[in-house]
Amino acid sequence: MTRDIDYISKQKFMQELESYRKGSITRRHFLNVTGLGAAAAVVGTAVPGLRPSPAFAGDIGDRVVLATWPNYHDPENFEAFTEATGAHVQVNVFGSNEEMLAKLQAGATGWDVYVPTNYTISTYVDEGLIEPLDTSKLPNYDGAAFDARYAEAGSVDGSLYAVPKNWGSTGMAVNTKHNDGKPIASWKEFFDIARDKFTGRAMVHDYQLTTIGSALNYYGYSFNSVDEAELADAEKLLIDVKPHLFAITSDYQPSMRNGDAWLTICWSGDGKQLNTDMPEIHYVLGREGGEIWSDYYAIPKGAPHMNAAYALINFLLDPKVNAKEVLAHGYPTADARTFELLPEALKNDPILFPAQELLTPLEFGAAATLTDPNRAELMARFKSA
Amino acid sequence: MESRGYIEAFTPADGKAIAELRGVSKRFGDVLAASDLNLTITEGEFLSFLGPSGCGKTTALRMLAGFETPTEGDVLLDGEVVNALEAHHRPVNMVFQQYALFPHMTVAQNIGYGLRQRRPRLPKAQIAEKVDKTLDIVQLGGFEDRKIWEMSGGQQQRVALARAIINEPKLLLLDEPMAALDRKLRKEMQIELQDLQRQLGITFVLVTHDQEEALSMSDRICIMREGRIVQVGSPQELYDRPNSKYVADFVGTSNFFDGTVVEQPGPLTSVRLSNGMIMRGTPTEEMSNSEDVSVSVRPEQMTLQRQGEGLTVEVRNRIFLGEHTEYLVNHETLGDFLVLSPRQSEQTEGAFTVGDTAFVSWEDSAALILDRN
Amino acid sequence: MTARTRNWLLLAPAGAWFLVMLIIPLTVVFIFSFGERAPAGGVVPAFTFEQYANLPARWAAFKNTMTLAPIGTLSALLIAYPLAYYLAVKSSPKWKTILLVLVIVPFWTSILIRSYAWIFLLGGRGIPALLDWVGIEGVRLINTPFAVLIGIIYGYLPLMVFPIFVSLDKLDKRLLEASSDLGAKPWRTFLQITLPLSIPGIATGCMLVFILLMGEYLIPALLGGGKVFFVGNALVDLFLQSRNWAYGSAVAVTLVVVMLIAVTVYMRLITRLGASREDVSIM
Repeated sequence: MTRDIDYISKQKFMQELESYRKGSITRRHFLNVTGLGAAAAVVGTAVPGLRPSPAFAGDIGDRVVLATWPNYHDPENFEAFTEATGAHVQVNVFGSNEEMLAKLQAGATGWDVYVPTNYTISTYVDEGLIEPLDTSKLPNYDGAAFDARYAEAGSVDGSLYAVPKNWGSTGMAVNTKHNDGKPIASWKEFFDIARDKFTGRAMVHDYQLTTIGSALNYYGYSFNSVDEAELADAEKLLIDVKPHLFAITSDYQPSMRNGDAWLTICWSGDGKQLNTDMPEIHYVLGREGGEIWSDYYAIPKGAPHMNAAYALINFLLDPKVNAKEVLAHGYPTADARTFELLPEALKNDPILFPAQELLTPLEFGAAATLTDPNRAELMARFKSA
Repeated sequence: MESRGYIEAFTPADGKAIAELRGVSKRFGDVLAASDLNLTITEGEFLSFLGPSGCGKTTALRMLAGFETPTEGDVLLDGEVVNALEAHHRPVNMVFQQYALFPHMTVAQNIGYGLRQRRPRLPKAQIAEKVDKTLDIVQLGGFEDRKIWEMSGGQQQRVALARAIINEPKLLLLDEPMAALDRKLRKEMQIELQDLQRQLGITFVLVTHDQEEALSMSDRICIMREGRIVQVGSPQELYDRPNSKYVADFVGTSNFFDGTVVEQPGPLTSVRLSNGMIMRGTPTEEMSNSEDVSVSVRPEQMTLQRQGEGLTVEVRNRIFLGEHTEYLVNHETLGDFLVLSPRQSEQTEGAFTVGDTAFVSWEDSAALILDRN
Repeated sequence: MTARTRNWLLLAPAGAWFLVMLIIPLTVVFIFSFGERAPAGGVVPAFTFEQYANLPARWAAFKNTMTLAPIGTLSALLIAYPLAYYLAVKSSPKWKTILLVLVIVPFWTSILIRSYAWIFLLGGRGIPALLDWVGIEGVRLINTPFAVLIGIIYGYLPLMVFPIFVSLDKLDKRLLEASSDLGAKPWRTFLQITLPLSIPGIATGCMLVFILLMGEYLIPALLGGGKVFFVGNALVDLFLQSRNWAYGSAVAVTLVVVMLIAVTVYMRLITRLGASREDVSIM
């Protein structure tokens, strides 16, 4: 609703509306704040009417519980799974790896399959919260088909605990309209412009890994640093930036879309969506580095429907099914078999598949960041400052 | 009913009019609560509005207090039209039904409330002194620091009274003030209230549905019915010269015999009753032949004898009242009515017992011919 | 059945509920608060005051809570009182019911959904755009303490309106007439009669809103953009993100203690106000 737009066509208006609607309330944020995901799981279990009748239940039971991220699946695939096996897929949605770990540590989640990010898997192994995978129950899994970079975190000490789902990067989204049409290219620029020209317009994630990581990148430190002196520098920067921030939130799409915010730390899939709807918003990888990540399917220790868990993972690893998934959420896959089935435009997308030289400085999140008490406390201090 | 029942206010000649209602009507939506009220209230008098609930007496009082504005007509206080003057500007105070005492204040704070509203402010000492004096007047000395809920019903009523009179209002309005008291206490308070009124010389306007209360306390009574004033007069006047069956029935007890006017030869009018019998009596207003009327005879004006003239009746019930004995008697065609025999008569005639045959008679002039409505 | 047994039976359900849902969790939290963070998150039993010693790190959260909770309570009171007064004293019986229902209606929807509506209203395309259009430019509302305050007032208003409405509704209207009859101007009648007699409603409403506000985290999270941080938000972070249960417990115990102190002081204040009504009425 800016003044300079005097007239927009009906078509343009509908487009705007649609893009606003898409981003206005992302499920991730919604569920993150409410814990509704967990509540839904309880309800689903307690109300028998919500379960489908097992058409051919076989030996996998009538349901499987999946803990995953928002907007990360094609619901049609779940329907197909239920039709094929008689097991209904119950979905719990999460906002952070920390929260997922907190729930599993507290125990009795009732999950059968969950979707941890690369750097958390070793911690789950250390804590005894994850089940080693029996590949004989996953005929669709072909280890050779996966790009090793996005698959190797699934194995710990030679045992396979998790199989790759999708990967992506963490960079920044900038609305170039407010910077004379120019994007920015580094975390240095990000934090500097946030305190200057973009004061009150920048956002960082409500997520220790990326927010602290980006601040570390500013100084040229490793994204994953747990060095106390380096963390102290990052904290100083973050606290100095805080009064200039528009928000500390992982739900940055709505504010980027409605023009309240001009700059944010951004995941590649979100960057792609923003750029598609508003070309003036560019997705950029920081020159100093940033995160590259890979999500996996895994089975928590003591999953109540173990057979159904294997059946679901196997089903989702089917390249045809997986290709539908990718088309639904837009994140790239590490599975070459699936990649082949994707349309050319997607395969050549510079946001989803950046040039190799841009990917080189990126780092996978390190397990230490998940459990390091200093990073956790730094983030909390930054937020409550 | 037009206002023919209205008798121009019987105002003491020397009295000054302190308040006046001039053609006042009050309408609440479709309901006409008060209709064309005309009344002059004289300084220093004790006037009661008497009537059944819903007759408009409370509405009249509330218009005097300033809680209601008349729809038509004028309300005058001290000769000035005050229709739109708000309650807090009127030199008028009210003793509310259930008292409406402030529960969060002590007795003394309640009583001093009116004085504390005065501007310019009165000195605290002066307020305290007046509160003390007023407490003495209502015989509540020593109760000043009590909480309202620590006081009995009778004491609360005194507080309410004190809270009103301390302001020396031109009019003291009392809205059914005795309704919440038990019978014995009510009698005592009636006497006290009368004493107080004489002592203070404040004009009292009382609203009540209790005729006994109105009769025993008031200088004048204004009888109301369905929003109208029916008759205004002293208690004795209303008792002796009611202008309608309604008033005669409301003030005291009376026996009524319905009939139509047949003849008006002289001072007495003849009425043919439903059973064909002719009765004569004093007309209370001009009447035309064949008008529907009621012959009213007070029980104490009837004489009950063993032998003699009059209606032949059978004694149905006897109630000994001390000075008097009340008999319920039955006439073959006129039905039941009451006769009050004084003690002396009992002594000469001897007491009647149930089942006795007797003769009832009265002076024709004692019978009143009344408008039947 | 003896009267004693009967009394015990009457108290049993509530007693059991409090034991399971309040006493036991509070005890657990209290014990945790002396522990230490486990390496991967959680708690290891210990006996250390380290967590309490670290409390100053959450000073800002406590400060925010202890500033915005009273301000929010007071603002809600100032807005709720005239509304409750109108509902109880001025509105006709027919409108009274309709308006009361309108006050309740928002409760039919979750505060979360309603706060999302505020995100839009306070965002750049909402009220600021409207202000911009009438010539007031550059107003920023969303993600400010003011936005949080608006959300708080909006969310808690019915909780404030109801107790005040009840106390004003049962107020004998003849007391107001009596006051007027005794010469008090309307505003003096309000100060001397209406206000003092509605103090129980005010006290209840303020207490209710204040206590709930002390534990609030949803509204600051949504309308404060993560920048306006309450103790409630600190607790969510400590338990769900950094998984420092020991420190989280210490913060929770401190919040409970601060709340108890605030409530005690508040009750004293109200009682004193009640005891010195003389001053109130002589104003």
